[in-house]
Amino acid sequence: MKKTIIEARNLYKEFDKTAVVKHINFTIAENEFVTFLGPSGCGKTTILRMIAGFEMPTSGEIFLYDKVINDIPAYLRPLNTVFQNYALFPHMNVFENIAFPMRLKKQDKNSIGKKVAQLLDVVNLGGYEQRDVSSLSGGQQQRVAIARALANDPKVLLLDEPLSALDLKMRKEMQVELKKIQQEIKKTFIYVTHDQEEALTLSDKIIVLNHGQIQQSGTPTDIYNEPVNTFVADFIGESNIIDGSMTKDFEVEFLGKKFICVDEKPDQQTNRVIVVIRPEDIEIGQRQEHTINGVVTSIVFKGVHYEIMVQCNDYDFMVHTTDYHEIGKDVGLDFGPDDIHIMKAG
Amino acid sequence: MKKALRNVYLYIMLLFLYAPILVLMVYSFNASKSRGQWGGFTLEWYRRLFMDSNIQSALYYTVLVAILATIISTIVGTISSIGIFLYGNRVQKLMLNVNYIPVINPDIVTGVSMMILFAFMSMRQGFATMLIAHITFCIPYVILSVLPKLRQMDVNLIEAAMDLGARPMQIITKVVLAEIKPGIVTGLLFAFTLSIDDFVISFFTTGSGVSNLSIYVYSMAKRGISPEINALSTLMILTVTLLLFVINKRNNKKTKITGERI
Ligand SMILES: Nc1ncnc2c1ncn2[C@@H]1O[C@H](COP(=O)(O)OP(=O)(O)OP(=O)(O)O)[C@@H](O)[C@H]1O
Ligand SMILES: [Mg+2]
Repeated sequence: MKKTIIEARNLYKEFDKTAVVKHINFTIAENEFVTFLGPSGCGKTTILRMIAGFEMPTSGEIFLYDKVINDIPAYLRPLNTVFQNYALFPHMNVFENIAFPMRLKKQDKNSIGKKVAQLLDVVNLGGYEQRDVSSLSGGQQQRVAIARALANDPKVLLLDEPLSALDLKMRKEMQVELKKIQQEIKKTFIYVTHDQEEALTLSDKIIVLNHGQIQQSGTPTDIYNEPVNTFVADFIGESNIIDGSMTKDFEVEFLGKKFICVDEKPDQQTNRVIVVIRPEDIEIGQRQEHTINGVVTSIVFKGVHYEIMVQCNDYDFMVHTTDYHEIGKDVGLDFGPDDIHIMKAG
Repeated sequence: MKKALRNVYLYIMLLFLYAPILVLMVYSFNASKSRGQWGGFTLEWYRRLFMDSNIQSALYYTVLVAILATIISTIVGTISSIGIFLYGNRVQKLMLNVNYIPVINPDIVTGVSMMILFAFMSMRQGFATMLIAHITFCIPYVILSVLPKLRQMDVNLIEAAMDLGARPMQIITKVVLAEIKPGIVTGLLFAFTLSIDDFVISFFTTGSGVSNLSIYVYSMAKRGISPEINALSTLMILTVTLLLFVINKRNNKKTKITGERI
């Protein structure tokens, strides 16, 4: 079991009497890459700013190891932030930007020079010391910002949507780079994004937020394969979400057909359940006795697979498959027991 | 044809604007004392100017007041701007408007009201009162140059500095001041130019024995225009023009740099 470095207990924050972060608890382990993931306005930035010390919690505690840090000002916290717009000092060149935190600590010239060169190496910008920051591309500025945030050897690096200002190709490159940097320097990264793909790619652990509350936290695989509610299922990846009913464990009925599943009946009060099925888990083929039948209404090529919409009586399924099925064709949909996820209705 | 007309118009306008100054400058080199005729080129008036102890004293006061007023108003104005900035948007806008009032107020009103204020406080008018008056009318110009620079500044820079370990005072000295330096220098040059240039307010706030160049020119002119005045005025015009040139050059350079960033 890894040691916990950051912990929030009953963390609550309101702005002008509106609750933005609602009594949340989480723990973050040393050297973990943890991502707060959620839609716009769900309170991700606010949580990160409370950890960094720019925002005071209304109530609840934030721990660094076993010390409450609520009252420690930002400039004394051993945490550093990479800002969304980089926030590099425009009147300083690359070297001076990265040296800034070390200069404040009055370190000697030699060790500052060495450290800057080493950090520029880590972010793949060796030799850029004397460049004006305004002459760098967005991706390069981002790297300088990361190097600067690492200059004080923070225990934790906080990153608020650091890649959102980059174009798609650059973003993908930087994702790989970020993960590499994190593994190289072995530090805790707390990352904020609304991009589920980014979160799945980068994280050791994802904390899914909605309306200031934690919906689910776990490894990317757990969250993708076992979403605990329809919000998570819908937000992480694409999902078919269908009303169904269960009269006994391990058997569910929806759209007029019965299927075997691996879940127990979630609620003894009612038979109603919600069924979640990922588009890539659906088998599409000939109509059979036990399949749900429908008609192909659209097919779009997505690079690796086709995205097919199948209209069944009451529901339009989205199906991902590598097989081609022409529009208007009659098809049957089948689901394996593992692929049917049952959730409580309501 | 149309273009030619346009050019003629432009030149006539420039002629109207600058003819008096040009005439004055030319006459400052005129050997003849009479204004009607050209008596040949001379530097005599300039020589006399530099011999005149009254003028030297006036020059001394002008420069001393300008330097002191510039330094003090730049410091006070910059600190005030930072203070106003920290209040947030609504107060900033209000203060910018309040700050405009002294700027658009006629000099004569400012001068007379300061004179009345000094009398009310039973201060003897002289060097100190003139200096106070100059500081007072320079501060709004410093604020006008510094506050917009603060408002343009990316507030994330302040948080970034804090995040990297800068204490509040270090944030101001190491980040904020460096960011608004162009505004401070512009304000400083403005203050210096205005102080050198001022006649009306100085006239109402100084006392016997202490006069700056413009007051001295005025009192000389009352006794009849002597060619020395032309020489003195020429020098003053050149100084102020040079300062304005420097200010403009700086402003142009700044817009070019920010233009590149966008
Ligand atoms: N300083 C503030 N004053 C008042 N309300 C605020 C303040 N900061 C944030 N809020 C509000 O708190 C809520 C959460 O904001 P937050 O910035 O944490 O969202 P977010 O999850 O980071 O969203 P995004 O993905 O758009 O960045 C929003 O409704 C926002 O309007
Ligand atoms: Mg945000």
